[in-house]
Amino acid sequence: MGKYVVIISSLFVKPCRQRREMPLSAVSGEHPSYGKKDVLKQIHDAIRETTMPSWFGLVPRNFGDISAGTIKADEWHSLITVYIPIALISLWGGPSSKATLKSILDHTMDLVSAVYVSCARTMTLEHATAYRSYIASYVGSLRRIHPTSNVRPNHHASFYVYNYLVLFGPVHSWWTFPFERLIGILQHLPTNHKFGELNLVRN
Amino acid sequence: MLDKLQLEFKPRKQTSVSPSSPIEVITGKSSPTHGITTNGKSDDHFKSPIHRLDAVAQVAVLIGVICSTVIGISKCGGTFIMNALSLLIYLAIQAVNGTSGIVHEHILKQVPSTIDGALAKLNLDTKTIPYAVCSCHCTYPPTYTEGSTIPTYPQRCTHYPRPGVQCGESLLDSHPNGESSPKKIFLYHDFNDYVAGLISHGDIKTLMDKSCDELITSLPSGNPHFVKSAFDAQFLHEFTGPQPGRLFVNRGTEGRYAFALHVDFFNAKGMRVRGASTLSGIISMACLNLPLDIQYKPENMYLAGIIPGPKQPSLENLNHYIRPLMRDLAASWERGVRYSKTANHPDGHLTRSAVVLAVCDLPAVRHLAALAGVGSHFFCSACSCYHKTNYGRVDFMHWMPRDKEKMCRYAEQWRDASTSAERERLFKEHGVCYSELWRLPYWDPTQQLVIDSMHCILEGLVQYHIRNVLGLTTEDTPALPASQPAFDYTFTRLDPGTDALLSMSTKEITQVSAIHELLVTQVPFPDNNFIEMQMEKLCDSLLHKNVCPLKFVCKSLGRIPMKSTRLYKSDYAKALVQWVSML
Repeated sequence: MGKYVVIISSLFVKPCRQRREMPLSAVSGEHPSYGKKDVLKQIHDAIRETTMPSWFGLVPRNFGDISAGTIKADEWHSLITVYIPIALISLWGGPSSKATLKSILDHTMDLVSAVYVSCARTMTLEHATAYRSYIASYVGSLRRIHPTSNVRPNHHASFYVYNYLVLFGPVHSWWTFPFERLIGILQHLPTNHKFGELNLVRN
Repeated sequence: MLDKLQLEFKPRKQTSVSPSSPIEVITGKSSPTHGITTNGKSDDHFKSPIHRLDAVAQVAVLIGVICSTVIGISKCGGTFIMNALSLLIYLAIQAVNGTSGIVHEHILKQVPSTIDGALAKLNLDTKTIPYAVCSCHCTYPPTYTEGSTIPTYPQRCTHYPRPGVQCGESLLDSHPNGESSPKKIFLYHDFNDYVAGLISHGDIKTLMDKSCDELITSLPSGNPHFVKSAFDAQFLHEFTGPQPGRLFVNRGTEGRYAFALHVDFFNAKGMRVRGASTLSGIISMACLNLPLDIQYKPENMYLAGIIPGPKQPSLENLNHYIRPLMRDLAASWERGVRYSKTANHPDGHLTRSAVVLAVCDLPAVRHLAALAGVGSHFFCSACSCYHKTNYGRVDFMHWMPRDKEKMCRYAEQWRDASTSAERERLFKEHGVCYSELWRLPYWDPTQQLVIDSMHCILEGLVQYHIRNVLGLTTEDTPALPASQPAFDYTFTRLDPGTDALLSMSTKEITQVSAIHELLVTQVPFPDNNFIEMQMEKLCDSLLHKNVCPLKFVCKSLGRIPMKSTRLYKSDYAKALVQWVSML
């Protein structure tokens, strides 16, 4: 009798264990859920209540709304280096917050650190190395912490910013902000939609 | 638009430029970009012609120029203002004197009748070369007959867009009065003219040379620990100049200028939420020799030209627009450009310029360097990481940089291929087309093709993280929820590149990871019937794959079907379905 029990259990226990480890559908609640509205409200509070020096780039106070318009690169820079860390740390950084939320916070802080280091006005080899290790840690754990997210070519390309930081120094001499400003000037020029006419007529 | 911009950008005196290479035989005169005689630059151009005008005419010119450049009045309006001013002066003279004498007529003659004339008096016109553009994007420089100022172009396009097929489109529109003009024009602002403008300013010229000299004096102490500009950083410390074994910045008595090149496409009518509808391109450069605070001032930046819209040229066709600039740059590197007079060198000065880096957003980078798009399997321009499944790799220590020599060889093979099929095969295999940048002898895309941190990090990673990963926007579109895997399982992964080893094609290697994804797909409703249906679906999807990858996955999971006869695709698929359903 005992022999049969062993056989039966070995027949069923193994698949059962496997099914437990590899379910057909994901267990709900395992993935982090947080009130996005609360987070947004916290960011709005941070934007409103933080006093910043006047040279620091402004961000729309209603960030997240459609009426805030397209967020520009400089606004993303202000958001990620100041307002979002303030908001997220005050929400999830406390001792009583959930482990999953803390891991999301740590993961986001990797990105914050990478941006902070890469946009510095002075570059050293240590800075660049720190940048690369932050990016490696960020990209490496992206799929683990946010399983629904995709890895993109940008994630790969961001590793190479390290090389260029070493080769060409601070980003300010090799980023496209000034060139984009030139495009902005061009877009605001009045035109008659005719190309090069001025020159031809003169000739 | 281009003209207007340059007027605003160059509110400074122009030097007298007669660029000629130091080697007498190959002076710039034969080259098409230097051969223009229409602008009539003479040696006394260092003085502005406005000084020779009467005070009354000077004021009239000033009014016209301010209306045009500052207020933004159109050309027609400008002509009206100039003529109205002439009339006003005439009437004023009449009112005071009753008649007008020779002196007065002389003053009236000095007032230009068009706005262009007024701008020329202040030396605000720049040397631009109008290229005729074909519908296949090929550009043709103008030729001028002796003594004439009217540009002439070839009648038909002689370019071969595909090997063996000549375009043959007509380049010109003929007008009823017998004249003809190009259908489309690309204005190229002469690079040497821009450099002449830059170095005609004494303080700017001094600053540009100072950055080279400081680098050379600091060389013995090694690379500085704190890097504040591109001139402190590694690349220019190792960048060899035209003479082998000698650094580019080791200038001797020459002028050596390093530039950052930028190409981008933009919507000329402003950004719209629905995306760009008409795209124009911009080719611009900034001089890295200048200190950071004045480097990017609009008057110090160089606008080579605007690529006319409404659509952006396809991958290799961008070459036609950057060719004039690349020719000038290559000549400047190989032969040098001698300016007959600069602010600090009244007897002329020899200069050499180089593009040390090209910075654009990710799509434009591929466009400029003529590499396969960023969405292709050749997703990295710097390393040999191949295949989309490698996006998430973090083992940067093991990434092999791409070989510059090989890329150059592939590019030339692509250019010289005799059939379209051959070109296509080469492009598929290596992901490289020919780019005009290869004209520059020092071009190394693995180092000089920079990834722009503004687009990549701020608008790429940060935006993606906040919008899509954290979902912190209320407006985020209710896209289909990405199906997340039901469970994590560490499959035996395959490295692309090992295909020869396993006798699998590249496509089959891709299928391996696709099969892995299929196996961990969720069943939306864990109901018995539904599971059965889902398993049938899974079996179907698996049957669409090739045998080799199926077999490989079975093997790696230890699930080779038990069967004495020949194993078919369905057997492997069933074995895999069994592995998923287990029961």
